[in-house]
Amino acid sequence: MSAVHGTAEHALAQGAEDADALLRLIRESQAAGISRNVLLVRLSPLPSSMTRPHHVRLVWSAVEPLLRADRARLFRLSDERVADLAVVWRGGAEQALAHCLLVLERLFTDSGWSGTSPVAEAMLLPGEADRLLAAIASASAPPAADPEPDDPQGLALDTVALATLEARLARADMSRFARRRDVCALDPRGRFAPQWERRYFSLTEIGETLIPDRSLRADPWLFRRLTRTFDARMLALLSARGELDDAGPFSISLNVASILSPAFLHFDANLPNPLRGAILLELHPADMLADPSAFLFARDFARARHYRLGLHGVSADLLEVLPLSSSGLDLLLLRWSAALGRVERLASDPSLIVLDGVSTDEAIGWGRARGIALFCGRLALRGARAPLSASAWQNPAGLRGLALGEAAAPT
Amino acid sequence: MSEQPAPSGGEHEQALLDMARRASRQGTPALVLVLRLSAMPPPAPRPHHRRIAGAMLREVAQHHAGQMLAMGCGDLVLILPGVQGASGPQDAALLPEIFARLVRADAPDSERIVSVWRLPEAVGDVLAYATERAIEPAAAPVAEDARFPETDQICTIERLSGAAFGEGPADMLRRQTAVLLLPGKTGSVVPLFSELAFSMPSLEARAGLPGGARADPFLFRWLAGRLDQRLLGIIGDSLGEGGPLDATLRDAPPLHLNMSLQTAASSVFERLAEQCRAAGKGVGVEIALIEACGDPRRYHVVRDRLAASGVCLVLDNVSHLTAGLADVGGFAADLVKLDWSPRMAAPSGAEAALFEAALDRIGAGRVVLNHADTETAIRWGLGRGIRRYQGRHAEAMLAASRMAGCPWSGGCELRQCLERGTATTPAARQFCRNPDLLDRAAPPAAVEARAA
Repeated sequence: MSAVHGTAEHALAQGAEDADALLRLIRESQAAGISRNVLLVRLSPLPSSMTRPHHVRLVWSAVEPLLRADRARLFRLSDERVADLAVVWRGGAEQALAHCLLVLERLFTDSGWSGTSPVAEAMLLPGEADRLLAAIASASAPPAADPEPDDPQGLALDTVALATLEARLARADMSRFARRRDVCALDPRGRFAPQWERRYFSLTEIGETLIPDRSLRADPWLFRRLTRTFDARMLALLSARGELDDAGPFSISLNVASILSPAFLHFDANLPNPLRGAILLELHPADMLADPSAFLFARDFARARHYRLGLHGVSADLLEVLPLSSSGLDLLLLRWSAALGRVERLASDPSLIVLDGVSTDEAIGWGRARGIALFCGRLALRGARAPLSASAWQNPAGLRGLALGEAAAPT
Repeated sequence: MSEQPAPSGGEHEQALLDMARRASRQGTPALVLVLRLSAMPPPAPRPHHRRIAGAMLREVAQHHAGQMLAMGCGDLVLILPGVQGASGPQDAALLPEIFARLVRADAPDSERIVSVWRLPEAVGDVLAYATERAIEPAAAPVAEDARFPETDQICTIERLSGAAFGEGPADMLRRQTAVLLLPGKTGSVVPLFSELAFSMPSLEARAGLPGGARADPFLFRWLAGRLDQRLLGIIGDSLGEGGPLDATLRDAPPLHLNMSLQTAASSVFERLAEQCRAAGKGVGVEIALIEACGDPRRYHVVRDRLAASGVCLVLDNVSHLTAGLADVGGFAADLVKLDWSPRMAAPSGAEAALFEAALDRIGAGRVVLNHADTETAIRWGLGRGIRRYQGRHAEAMLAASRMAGCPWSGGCELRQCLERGTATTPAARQFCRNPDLLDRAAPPAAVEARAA
């Protein structure tokens, strides 16, 4: 596909509305009897071999003509690269719809899809509202548990591949790989309320796009080296003019060396005042141990600049040997796994833990039973998506027990 | 905030001296803060110390129409004109406490890193400092981090890896013998085990590099994994050959090898361990703490397998800082190699409490004090009940013990015996007339003094 299609896809994605907006439209249609045509495209059940970047581009390309229909609106039902889509329009465009359905059928039939449910379905509101709601609900039902982050597939990076990848990353438009995911607080009534966004790059898409024959994580040490390049690109993205103008609280993963880098100083110097004190920096345990004096320096410097600090990538086993109290960090992002599910007691204060990668009810139940109130993952996407203002972060009524650390001296 | 401050070639020193002289003549009030990064013990100050401190000082200077000067020796000076008496901007007043906290892991007496002088009262102190800087505008040493930029690091590691797999690898190996100090008046020294590893300086020299192996800690760990595999192959090929590389050598202390978890669990190592057992010899595995933390579950599996095979497991690369961060005792290794640092003799603050608690949990009986290159290190260790040591000073004690028991030592110097004891090639031992003694596991009995 040419670069033009890639640009169109990006532009369409930028203009898409979210699942909540679609639910409101359905309710309005039912309440007022307003007729609307709907095309629902379900990509999330497809295997990864059928959701490569070129598949996604072809889907967007097939859908695009429908967006010229009368009062057409596009909805993207998740923030994942492989997101289910819905197009809603007032009427007409029968020819465009028929063509789109034909293109999509051929695309996935030719790719070998033989699933029981179609990839694309046409519906009519308000008569088929219940069917559409059911389809949306099943589309957003939790899939299988997130793959273990340390379960890499493919050939490991070597130094040559690493150097090649770093060179490609230096030239790539990283905004296409940028993702956000909420960390949500779970109240006693079981409702999720987003507390802050985690901003990260999709490693799956980076790997598939820039170095498809390699697994980025298979060699843990070369992967950790690679994260420094990711850090530099993330800091550059966040330092771009206007990027953080309307931003709410967020977190990013950084290496110790990245916190001490000129790029971070530039990011810090240009941070909008409302965000001061509303950003969490996530560190990795290996980075902490690789250069402990630099870690302690970076920790205290970040504190002095009013950043919160967390430890991510923590497994059930690591929790036992790397207590949060020793590191002096504010919270811990504990990765959900089947092995964690067998842990009865937590070695750390649950009010200082975010349970990450929650994609099953079991994960939520395990966390709640141990007093964890902060969750991140596919299930934790349910609930309100309205961005929080920075002042809500600094008055964390919804955040139980988030340690504020030492009183930071203003600079 | 921007890049770290560059040396000014004497201009900043002159500017500071001119300012001090003016203040002396005119009585102009000002606040002068000196951050004495040059006073930090090596390997500090590191580039990030100067970069971050410079940025913080520059920000305060900009807020208050002040000035930041970068001395050639590495010190940074903040001048805020017009600040009188005990008053002053709050952000500047908090800087000494902030800097003391930032550098406490690297500087034993972090409060002395910062000097705050108020002019004109302390003009004598400022003049003395400025005069000293102006007379000797010495260049700050360039830290390792700055000498090896990121863009070169991957290439460096590749070349080092290539050198290790080239010809004549034994020339690049080093042997260090850990010792057990027995209690008693004479304090006998008993060889405990011999660790074989690649010598980084030798490897860098072979690769034609001025250094850089450790510029990136993660690339270094990748390299370490490659070196471990190479060494395992060398040791496997040397079985039964005699000499310092022979893991089955009779009457020699057991060989210890550094390994990744993957290598320790490999069939290659399993075969080596089996061959050593068949020869009635032990062998040891040393696994870095960072490696163990990378996959604690796998570590425990490997530990249990090694224990079942009678292989000694040493948790390696534990510093006084990492001992405070991780529950080292919880890894349940047979021995823990604690890296000596002069900071351990004068710990401070919260890190000291964490370290003492960690040492208690590990137990002095399981500690091998590594890099014991000085008498200070040995004395510190003995004061903590530690009896196992590895390092230059430990090697010297072992060499002295050998010489006391060697009938041919009359023509040798301690330094020569020490170097021959750590050598891994016949060429490096060729002038020793009793080379078997270099590999002995037990201390020789002292020979009677011979008549002149």
